[in-house]
Amino acid sequence: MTALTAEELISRIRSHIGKNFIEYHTGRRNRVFITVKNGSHRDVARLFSELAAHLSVITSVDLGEYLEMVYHFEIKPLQVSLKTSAPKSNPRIETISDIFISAAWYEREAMEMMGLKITNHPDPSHLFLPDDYAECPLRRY
Amino acid sequence: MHPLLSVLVVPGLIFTSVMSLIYAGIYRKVRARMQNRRGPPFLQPVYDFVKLLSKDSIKPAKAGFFFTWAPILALASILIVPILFPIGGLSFTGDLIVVIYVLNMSAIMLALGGFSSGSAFGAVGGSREVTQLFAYELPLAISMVAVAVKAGSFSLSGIAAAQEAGGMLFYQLPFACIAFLTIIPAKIGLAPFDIPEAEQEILGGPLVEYSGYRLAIFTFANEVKAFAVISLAVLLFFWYSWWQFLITGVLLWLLFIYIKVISARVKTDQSFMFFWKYIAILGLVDLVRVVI
Amino acid sequence: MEVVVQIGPQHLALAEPERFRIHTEGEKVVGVDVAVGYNHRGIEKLAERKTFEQDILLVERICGICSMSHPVAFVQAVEDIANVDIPERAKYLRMIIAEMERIHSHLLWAGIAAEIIGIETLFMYIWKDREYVLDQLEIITGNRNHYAWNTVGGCRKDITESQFPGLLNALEVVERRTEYYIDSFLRNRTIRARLIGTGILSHEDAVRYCTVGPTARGSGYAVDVRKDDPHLAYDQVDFDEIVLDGGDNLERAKVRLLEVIESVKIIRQAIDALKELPEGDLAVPVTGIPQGESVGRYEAPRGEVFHYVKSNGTFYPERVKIRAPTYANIQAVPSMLDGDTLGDVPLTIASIDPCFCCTDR
Repeated sequence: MTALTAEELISRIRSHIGKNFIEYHTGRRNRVFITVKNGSHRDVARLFSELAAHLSVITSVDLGEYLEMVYHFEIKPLQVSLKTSAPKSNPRIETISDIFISAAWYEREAMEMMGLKITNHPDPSHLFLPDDYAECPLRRY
Repeated sequence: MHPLLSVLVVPGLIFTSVMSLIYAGIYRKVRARMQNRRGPPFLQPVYDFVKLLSKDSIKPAKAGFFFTWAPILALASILIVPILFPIGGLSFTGDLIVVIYVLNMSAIMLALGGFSSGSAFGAVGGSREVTQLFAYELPLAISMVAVAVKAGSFSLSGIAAAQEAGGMLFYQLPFACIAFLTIIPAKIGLAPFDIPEAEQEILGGPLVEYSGYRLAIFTFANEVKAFAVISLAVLLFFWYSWWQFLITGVLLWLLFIYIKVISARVKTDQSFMFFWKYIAILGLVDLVRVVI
Repeated sequence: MEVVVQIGPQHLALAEPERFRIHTEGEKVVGVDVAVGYNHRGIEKLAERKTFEQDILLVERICGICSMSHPVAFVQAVEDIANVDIPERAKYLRMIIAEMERIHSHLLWAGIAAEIIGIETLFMYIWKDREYVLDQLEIITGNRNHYAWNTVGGCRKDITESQFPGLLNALEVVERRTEYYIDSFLRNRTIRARLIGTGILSHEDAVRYCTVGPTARGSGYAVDVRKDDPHLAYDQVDFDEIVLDGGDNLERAKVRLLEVIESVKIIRQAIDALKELPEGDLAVPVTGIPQGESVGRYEAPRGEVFHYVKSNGTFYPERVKIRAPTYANIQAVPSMLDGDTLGDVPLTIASIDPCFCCTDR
């Protein structure tokens, strides 16, 4: 069985979510960065779990007008980073912790650090910061 | 020998204190050398005792009545055992039974100290001590009774006299001897059976909340217990004369230090099974042999 | 009757603070609550305020032992953004120090595991042998931890010819003594009685929780960044990936000790390669990091270290995301503690080789 290439993965994702696919670019050494519309990231995550993906971490980024969630997967031999974003005025992104159980803690960190609202999360309490800490430290305002 | 001299000097308070501190010093130095370290000076137990007396002894708010009395009773009860030794001591008929009870008392006082500490770790340590007591108490009593029946006397001086006349008891009652020696690490809190005092798991077990003079007394009681139990083993199975008694005691202590250095700690359920399945049977074998 | 025993934040078995609330009935564990964050220092925010070169020193100080893990992962991501290839010599130099760190970290873990189960003699012996490796690291890099070995584009210092014999000597001692320790862990009956059958992590749970490092490899889940995502010079040396089934504490101990032997093999091959290479530059000059993003991964002694770096073309990074291996593995701890007794809890928590300051950053 030949190893999965970036083009194959992109075409599978495209056929899965159609016009919710926004763009992608590749980096050195098998890195792939994919951007999809908010909401369709769950379908892509489900596709990845069928491909036996390994979730490394979830990053939250402040893009100014938007808040972005980057889901980092390893689907051997590719390192795939799946991005989706929501506007700062209404930063609601749905959880993927029912598909990847370890996403729960990473999403908690994103919620407390960046002020994202992850909907349907099983335990939206603070992880690293004290329970009564009200600000979002990683935002750039 | 004048009874007051027996109680206060030899083999009473002064002799026991000196020997216990020597045993403790040997333990720390030999253990360090076996572990490739230099180790503390031989007198370190004395220094530790004096230092602890000078520290604050804090009583937790939730501690109970026995918090102060447990160490005192532990020390008082274990000091009775050396006074009965037949090297100028006050032995009397039936004092073996007293010894069995008094050894029990010291373990129960350790557990009581843990329970009255007002801390979850102390309580867990206390319950482990009681569990271990249930495990080894029966084999201990069985082997001691086997020795008494074989020697024809329930007093320590009588057992010593019987060995001077008829030879050491360890080869006549080998199973009882092995059972007793196996119980010693559990009794004095050495690996592989030092479960109640497990430092890394329950932060020191029953002694976790103790400090200052209360800890000094408790630690000293544990050191006296080590000396008393080892000497008891020599008395019951290896007695020849008073100077051989002292030398064999030190040799036996070195053997147990070696066993401690090469063993990990077993778990509570494993030790319970071990004592009830194997050691109790060993003791029973010899008891049956001497009775029949 | 359920008793809640709290392990941490301060506890003799934990080197660093985290809080575990263990719900027990008698001695049996029925539930675990994990709370982290006691060591949070805001490193990610601070990294946005320092330049890329300063960030290498910053991430090195996330943890004392993982001091090649974070710098190499970070600097690989930055080198990907800048699109530079570091010299061959620098790859081997980084790899040698990385594998030496793996050796002394695994030996540290083995000593701590021995101490937790009560056999302090083994703890003293193992840490004494670990000193040989630390002495060599001090001779080569100048420090026992925090080597400041990396810069964007390569390495800062070289290993000279005169330092090779001492290094090879130390490796030979370590290899011989590690064989003895593997023997001890496998054959000493009291040690086996404590390690076998406790802290079991099933294969399904290891995959589900996306565990990494020896924690995963002890349960049959074969993830190793050195094999899956070859970086430095790992694709040019010959070594085995140690994967064992079983998932209990003894298997994880075996994985780590066998990996020490593999690391010795790797270092010997790297030294041979270094002797062949011609003298050359240690680093490629890099001026300015363009806009872009990348992912740097590295196999630390505890598992996969993950750095995501985003650059906006200025001197300072736009975003730095750091994920230490314990962050992934600690989520599997409740599953490992399920069914154990209270006496096994400190040992099981220690068996994922926790580095809580890396988790909290």
